[in-house]
Amino acid sequence: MAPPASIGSDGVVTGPGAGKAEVAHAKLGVAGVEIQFEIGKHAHLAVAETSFSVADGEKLILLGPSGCGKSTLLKAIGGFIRPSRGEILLDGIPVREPGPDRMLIFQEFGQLFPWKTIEGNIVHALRAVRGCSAGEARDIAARHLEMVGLLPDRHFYPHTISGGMKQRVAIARALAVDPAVLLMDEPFGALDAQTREVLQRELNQLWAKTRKTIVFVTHAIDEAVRLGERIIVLTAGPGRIKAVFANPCAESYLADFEGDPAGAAELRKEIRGLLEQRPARGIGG
Amino acid sequence: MPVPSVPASRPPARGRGLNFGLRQAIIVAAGLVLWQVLVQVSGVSPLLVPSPLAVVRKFMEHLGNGELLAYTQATLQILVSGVGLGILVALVMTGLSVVIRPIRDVVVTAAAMMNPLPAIAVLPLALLWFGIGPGAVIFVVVNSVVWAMALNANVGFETVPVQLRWVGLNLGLRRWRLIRDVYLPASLPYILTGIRIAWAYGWRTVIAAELVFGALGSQGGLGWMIMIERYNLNTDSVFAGLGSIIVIGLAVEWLFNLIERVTVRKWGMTSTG
Repeated sequence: MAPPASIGSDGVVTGPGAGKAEVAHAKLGVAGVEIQFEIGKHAHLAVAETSFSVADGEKLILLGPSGCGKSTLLKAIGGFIRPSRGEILLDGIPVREPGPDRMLIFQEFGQLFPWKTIEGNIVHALRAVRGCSAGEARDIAARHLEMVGLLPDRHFYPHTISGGMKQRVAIARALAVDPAVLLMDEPFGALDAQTREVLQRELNQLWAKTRKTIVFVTHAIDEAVRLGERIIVLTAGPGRIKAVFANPCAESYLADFEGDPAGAAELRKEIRGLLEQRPARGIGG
Repeated sequence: MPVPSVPASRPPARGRGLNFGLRQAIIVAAGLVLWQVLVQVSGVSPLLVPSPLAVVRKFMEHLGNGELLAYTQATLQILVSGVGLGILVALVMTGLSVVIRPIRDVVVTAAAMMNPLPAIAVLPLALLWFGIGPGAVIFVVVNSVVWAMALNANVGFETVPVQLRWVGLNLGLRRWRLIRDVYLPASLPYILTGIRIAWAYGWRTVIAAELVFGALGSQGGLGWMIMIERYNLNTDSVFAGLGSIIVIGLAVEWLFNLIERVTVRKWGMTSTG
């Protein structure tokens, strides 16, 4: 599971057909995916041909500025957007539509059903996905609410709880369904700075416990370095992979989230340097 | 860990001093007293304007001998079946238009065309098709309800937040289950508004139909009662009939408020909650 050493910024992984065999055998494979949108009569290339793979139990970060297509790519993995070219493979099988094997968590707080309590939201998800009995669903829900520290609040309705609590519930619901991959689209982006840090730490703790495969999208370099085992840096216009980093600080942050491990500052600086470069125009896409 | 905010605070009182309900009661009582005084002082003929006391006496008399209940029951029977059927048809149409997109265009176009037509205008046609009887009135009520309801439900379905729709899809819900678990509850504020409007249209249509065409079927309703009593110059009974219509309207309004309080307002789904 040890990720490869840092690959330079020369786009090693972006070539057509790169790592086809690797992609096919990974937990999640993005194989030559290209995403185009029709805006009026014009085709807009949101994501240029992109390939990468995610190992089982890996926590991968897609990092890039707004408009780099990272969120679009995540939604394509979720099955909500169909790539114009290429394939997304889950355990080697192409994904065609959204499904509970890839639970997506949004940035927006409005992802809980307001007519169901905290517990009710999770119970509903469990019953919809697994068809388990109400009692069994409540037991599983209680276990996952315990994990995010919300068991005492389970009878509240979503509109009465804070944004941080809502995101915790969304995470608990997604984990309760036990997806193959957890997709997180800037889930802490709308939180205040303090709450964001608390939830980042909690996510690291949850991941240390569950080793769930996670693809996490963010535009914040700091967040990427603190959360990512591996970081894929994307650039905009159109979105393409600029570099892939194995994060040398991942284990340190799992053990001590507040710490300042060796290499973190350098990694942040290197990524910042990459993102500040003007995107190369006229090459390919 | 953040502490949950106080659940659903009470809506602010609509003014200072006495509570609004009490103030309204005082206004109604004052109006009744003024009416009584004016009738006595002016000496107007009770055939034109009876005193409120006479109206109340008549109301109790009709209530006592069961006439009023029978009339009310006749009206409500037609109304409830018409409104209920109309709501059901509208919801099925809206649900189908989520699953099959072309149906949406048909429903929206038909609703836009039929909605401005006062429902009662269709009654002559309904009489031709269904003959003189409750069938014709129910048809008219369904027609008055279904389009307003379909338009509202459609707006509700169209404005279901994308996150909720995607969560439903993510959980593997499709078609009927997606509609039942996500679309219907998410658009409940619009559906309740639609039911309110549907009820109001249906109520007006039934009374109007009874007034114009008399007793449709074996037993007349409240509109019929008002017509008959006018014919017999029992003006106090006419007023008693009108009073009953107001009372029923208020009761239904109260019921709607109750339903909203235990659903959409409890869930924080209204802007006024």
